[in-house]
Amino acid sequence: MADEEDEKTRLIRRQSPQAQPPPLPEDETEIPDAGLAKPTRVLDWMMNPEGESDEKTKLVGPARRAVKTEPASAETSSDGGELDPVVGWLVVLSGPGRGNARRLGYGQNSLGRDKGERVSLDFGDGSISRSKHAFVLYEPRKRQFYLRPGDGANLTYLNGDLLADSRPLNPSDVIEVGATKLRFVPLCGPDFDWEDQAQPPK
Amino acid sequence: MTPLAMTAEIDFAGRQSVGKRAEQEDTYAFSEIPARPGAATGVLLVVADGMGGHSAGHRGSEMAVRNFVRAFHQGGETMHERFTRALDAANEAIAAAVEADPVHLDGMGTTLLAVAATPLGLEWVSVGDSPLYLWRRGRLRRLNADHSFRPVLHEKVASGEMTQEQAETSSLRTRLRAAVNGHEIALVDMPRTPLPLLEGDIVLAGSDGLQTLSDEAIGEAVARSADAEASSLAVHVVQAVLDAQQPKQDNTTAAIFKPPADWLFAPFAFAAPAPEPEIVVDDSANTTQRIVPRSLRSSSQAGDHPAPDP
Repeated sequence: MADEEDEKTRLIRRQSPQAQPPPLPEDETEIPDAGLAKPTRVLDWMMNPEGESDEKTKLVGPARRAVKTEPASAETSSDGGELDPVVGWLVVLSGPGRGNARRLGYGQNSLGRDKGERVSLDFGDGSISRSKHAFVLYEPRKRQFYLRPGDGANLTYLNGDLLADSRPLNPSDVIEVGATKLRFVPLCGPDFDWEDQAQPPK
Repeated sequence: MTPLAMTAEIDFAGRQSVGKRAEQEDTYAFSEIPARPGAATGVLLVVADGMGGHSAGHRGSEMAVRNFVRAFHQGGETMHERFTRALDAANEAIAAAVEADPVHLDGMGTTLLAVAATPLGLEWVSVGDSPLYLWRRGRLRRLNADHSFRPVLHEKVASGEMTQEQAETSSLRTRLRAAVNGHEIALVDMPRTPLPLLEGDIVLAGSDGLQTLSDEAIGEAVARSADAEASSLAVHVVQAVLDAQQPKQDNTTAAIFKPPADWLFAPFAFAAPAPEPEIVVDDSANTTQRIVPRSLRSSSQAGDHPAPDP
């Protein structure tokens, strides 16, 4: 029974709720991963986990009711890489952020000024919708890009024309959202797709 | 294409085995994410691996899943907002239950992995060590963070502070650095942007009982049935774990989602929240717990049989 217990999922118990939690920084993003933050103490305890019973109840995670994002791995960040390779870019031609570029990936790329958008136009143009102002789609079977209007009331223009439904995107097309003009620069297309490569991109 | 037609095409299924344990402490649920008219339906998948004595493990995971799903459907403009609210609801439900019956439920808690698949991509919130995998073009990758001590031990081995053998035999391997147990949640993995899904992708969410097999072996099991329906794929994955004949095999859950090709480019936006979303709990088979809205159960093969226990 004791053996079986060892294999079961168990939580390293933290301090009881009555106990005073240690002071923590206000900015929750600065809370370190406790397991990795105090290697020496945790290591001692790992080598002798059944030792001091007091040690078992020590705080292992920060005692704070806060939803904290721990990045899963570099692979799942939107900086590209193996799981989300770049297929093209949107370059800011005019408006706040002029001179910057944002990457496009496979599938649906949502444009908005929120930082959580896949194409985050967070340069200070408040007339861009927070989320889903428009979408740029890359469809790998036909190797074709499309521009589609978003969910909100804010309008999108393609080469000066109001966008009413999904339209194919061509190199050098100009997309207008709010007071920002974006030039479309494809990487993938008829002459290149990551699928062409013998190995997936590393 | 109508949203209803898209719902019928979405292929997902889950299977479980109790393993060599006395009780099934894993709970999983699939739930439709209703979309605005003209948009495609998404799928919410929740897996929880409970802990605690006196059946608290079983009750904790079931309670967390049920409350998570209910709160998720009560609204929120972004997936982030819905996940955060739902995780809080699950945690508070457990806190209230432990407070009401501390004698039996002290120590009750659970891992919680919730995955939302929409045409915009895969989003998840994860507390604990229930793994989320993406199988793409022959390779299986783990997507979510592991809140057990496995990564910490791995780090110690890498820096030479511990030997591989010490790490592999450490009783800490399966212990958790974070859980949903009614207290503050120490670690939450919730990426900010969706991971886009591609045609042919297979999403596998489960409990750590799957990790009897290496990631490579799980990938091979998926590859052998990659073209099969989600229901047989889930059976094959659970069977591959049981075939390893681990003498102390933990509860094992495998839940599969296969995105349909024409769904990937459909628009998605949340529907207005229903006042009382329909959630059906069915634990008539004592090795399986499922929570699936009736509308989905009638239009798919989701979670209808537990995996055979040898």
